[in-house]
Amino acid sequence: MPEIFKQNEIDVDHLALPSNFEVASIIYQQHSSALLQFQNGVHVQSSCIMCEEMSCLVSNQNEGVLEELTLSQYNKLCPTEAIEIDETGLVQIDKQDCVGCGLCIAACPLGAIYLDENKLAVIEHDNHIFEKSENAQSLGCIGSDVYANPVIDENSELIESIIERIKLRGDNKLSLNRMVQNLLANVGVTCQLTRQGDVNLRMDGLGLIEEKTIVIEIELDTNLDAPRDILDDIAVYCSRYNESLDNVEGLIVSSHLPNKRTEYWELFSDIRNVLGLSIMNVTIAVLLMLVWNRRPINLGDCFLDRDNMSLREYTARALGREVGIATPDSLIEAAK
Amino acid sequence: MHRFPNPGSNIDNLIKCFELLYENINRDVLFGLHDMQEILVVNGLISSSGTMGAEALLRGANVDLSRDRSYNQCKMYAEIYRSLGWMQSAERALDYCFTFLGDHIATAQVDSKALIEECFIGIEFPNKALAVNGANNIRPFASILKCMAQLDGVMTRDEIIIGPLCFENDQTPVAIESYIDKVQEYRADPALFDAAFEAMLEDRGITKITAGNYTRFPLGALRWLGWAEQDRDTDHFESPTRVYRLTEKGRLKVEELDSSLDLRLEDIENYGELGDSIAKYSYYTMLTNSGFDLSSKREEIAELKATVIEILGTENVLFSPFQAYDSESLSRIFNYSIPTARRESIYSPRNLDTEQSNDFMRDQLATITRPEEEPINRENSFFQSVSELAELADRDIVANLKPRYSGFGKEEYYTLIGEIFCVMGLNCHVSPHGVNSRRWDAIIIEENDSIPIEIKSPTEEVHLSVKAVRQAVENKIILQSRQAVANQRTSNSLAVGFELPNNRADVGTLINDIDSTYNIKVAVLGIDYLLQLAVDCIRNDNIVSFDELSEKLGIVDA
Repeated sequence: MPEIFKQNEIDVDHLALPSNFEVASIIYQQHSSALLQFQNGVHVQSSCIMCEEMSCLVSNQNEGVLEELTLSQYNKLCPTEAIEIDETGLVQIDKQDCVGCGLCIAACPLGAIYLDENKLAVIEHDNHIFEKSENAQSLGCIGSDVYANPVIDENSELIESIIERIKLRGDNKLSLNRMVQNLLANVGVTCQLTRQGDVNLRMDGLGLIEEKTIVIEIELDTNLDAPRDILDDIAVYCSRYNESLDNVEGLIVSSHLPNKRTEYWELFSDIRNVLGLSIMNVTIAVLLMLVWNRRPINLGDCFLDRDNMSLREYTARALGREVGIATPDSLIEAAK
Repeated sequence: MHRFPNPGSNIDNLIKCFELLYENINRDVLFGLHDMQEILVVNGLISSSGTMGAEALLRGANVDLSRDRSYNQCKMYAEIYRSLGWMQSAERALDYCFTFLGDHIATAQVDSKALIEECFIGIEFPNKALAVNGANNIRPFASILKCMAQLDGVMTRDEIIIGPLCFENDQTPVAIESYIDKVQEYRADPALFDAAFEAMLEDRGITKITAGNYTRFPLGALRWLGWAEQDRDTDHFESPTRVYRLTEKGRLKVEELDSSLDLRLEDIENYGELGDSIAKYSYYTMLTNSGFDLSSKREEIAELKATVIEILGTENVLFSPFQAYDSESLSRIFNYSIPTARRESIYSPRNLDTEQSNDFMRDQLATITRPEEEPINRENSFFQSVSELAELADRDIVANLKPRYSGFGKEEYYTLIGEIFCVMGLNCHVSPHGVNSRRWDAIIIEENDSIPIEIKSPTEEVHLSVKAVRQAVENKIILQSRQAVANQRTSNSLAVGFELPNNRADVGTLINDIDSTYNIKVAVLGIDYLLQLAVDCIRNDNIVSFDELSEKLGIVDA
């Protein structure tokens, strides 16, 4: 019988916080890893400790909507697979693939990842205080109250660059869908992507929030096709899965909102009037800002129509401050 | 580049709107954009927040006028009407009144088209009628036609953009000759053209789409006037290219233009008082050439003619005073007073404060004249086509007619479908192209109900697809929500195409899913079924009942 060979394992060097060091606050900084402040007064630059959770690599929140979709879900955090453990056992980020969305930055409990001057994620390995450890240390104990400031400060140039990098990719639709899936999961909407070409599930994704199924269309450029498609998706979904229309809502996630003078906006009021169905609109910018500020989404506040074509007010409310994007900008409102 | 507003490329609608305004506004008063909105929106000729009628006007009202779509559409119409010389601004730019030229357009007894043709040729920039200065000294329609003639009768849209719509001065022969030479070079080397076009866009800070939008009105007009038609050309370009081709009528127009002396406002003003005589004479000639009886002015015209020949050495002058002068100069030349009284408006967004005033306004708006409903025309041209084949069996008539329609584009096919339903005794209206309030392509109207129809011509898609079904659903939702015409939830929405869907199972299932989830019935019809039904109606003098048609669901087989 031929020999079956075993693959070499990667030796990972784990690090841990020194004993009696308790994190008091984590302050995110521009172009460098976060500043860790300990209860004992010591403060250092953060770096990667190869923790137990590895939450910068893995996304475990993509199940629980439709059982038959669970196995086909993408379980990595990075939408473009730019972050992985290299042959030396260190987590590394491939700058060719990184789009700068900041999902990994928000996921790292220690703030060891940051955006560099080119708006690409970098992981800090330059250790200032951590000690070698036999086992990976769990960082689950770090509470959300230690984070002093947003993971990333938003501005339209940064968000446009993320969208542009996604657009330029050969697999742009797939990367976009994966990014939206993980952004939604991060703001409290469990989301599963459907399989391409499945005629029974034509939507891009299915979400779940407070017992309601959310039928999701994800678009790089939005036009009238999005509400048309979503009506189609919902009809097929309700009919094939014997779901009542009362338990379903629609969500269009797009890079930019259409202009004021399009029929697009009136259609949402019409659909709600006639079918009692709410179709929400959220932009990638809003999702990014919520993730970067560790805030959940309230989808009910994202119903836009001819009377309200802007997500600015909602976003400001959710962030508890003004939005750092000049007005008007189609990233969060119908601009023209 | 000269920027034409784009209120829609349907010139019939443009004229219908003007006639309706004229019918509803006293000739001797000033009116504004809200008056235009009031009349045009209430009558469904332009859209307001996607709906029609008085309710549409009230719903679409917006304190921020830049967001009030029908207001902005009226603004574009007003600009076009002023360019055509049918309306003019009084002392204040947004106070309008009708002109003498407009009077003739609206009251032409036989046919206003000849005069409308003159008006299109009469457009010149810059002018005082619109108070536009601009960088382009052009008579655009004349220029387009002349360049087309010099370019072997064909021009692409983009060639029109970088040429006649961009000329600094189309009266400079060297510039025109150089443009013609360049276009001939470009046709041999498309990369050169692309570079020149890009440079023009960059220079003017506009995108290609915006540049294209500025041409929609003039190109629509060229087709409507019958001076040029859309075609594919393989003789002048490396690969088949969409072009506008000069028609025989267009060629005759070019000959006429070549034999006229093209005078612009600046030239006329240089003649001082004598310029007034040239203006008057050219206006009278314009009317005479368009079939108006000016015998009462015979003596005055003879005098003016003598003066014009004496000054210019020719009587063939191309100049249209109502399209060039401001109202003050016109009132001096034609000796009339500019109205000062204002129309009593019913609608104003400022009066929309309370529900009570809305109700009052609603009642008042109901008093605006509406065009009379035309009776169903069963003996239309489709009826004639069937009658001509009366010798054949029903099946053979269908087999004979169907191939005739296989190359039909949108407009022809929509008209055909409208006629077929009319032949069946149904009150079917085909929506004018470009009127957004009528999202459906046609609609069958009954006293208390209606059936919206989504039509796909064979040149759009031979076999109907799920796309048509989706649009049929949207039509029903919009109609139900906005109630532009009475519509019951239980009646269906039609998707009409040429051939039935290829993927029958998918489309059929989708229709059932839509019905079970939304309680919206969609029926899909192909031309075979419609022809059979229509031929049967003609032969046996039958009609199709609205109720029967409105209950159909799914793919309807012949």
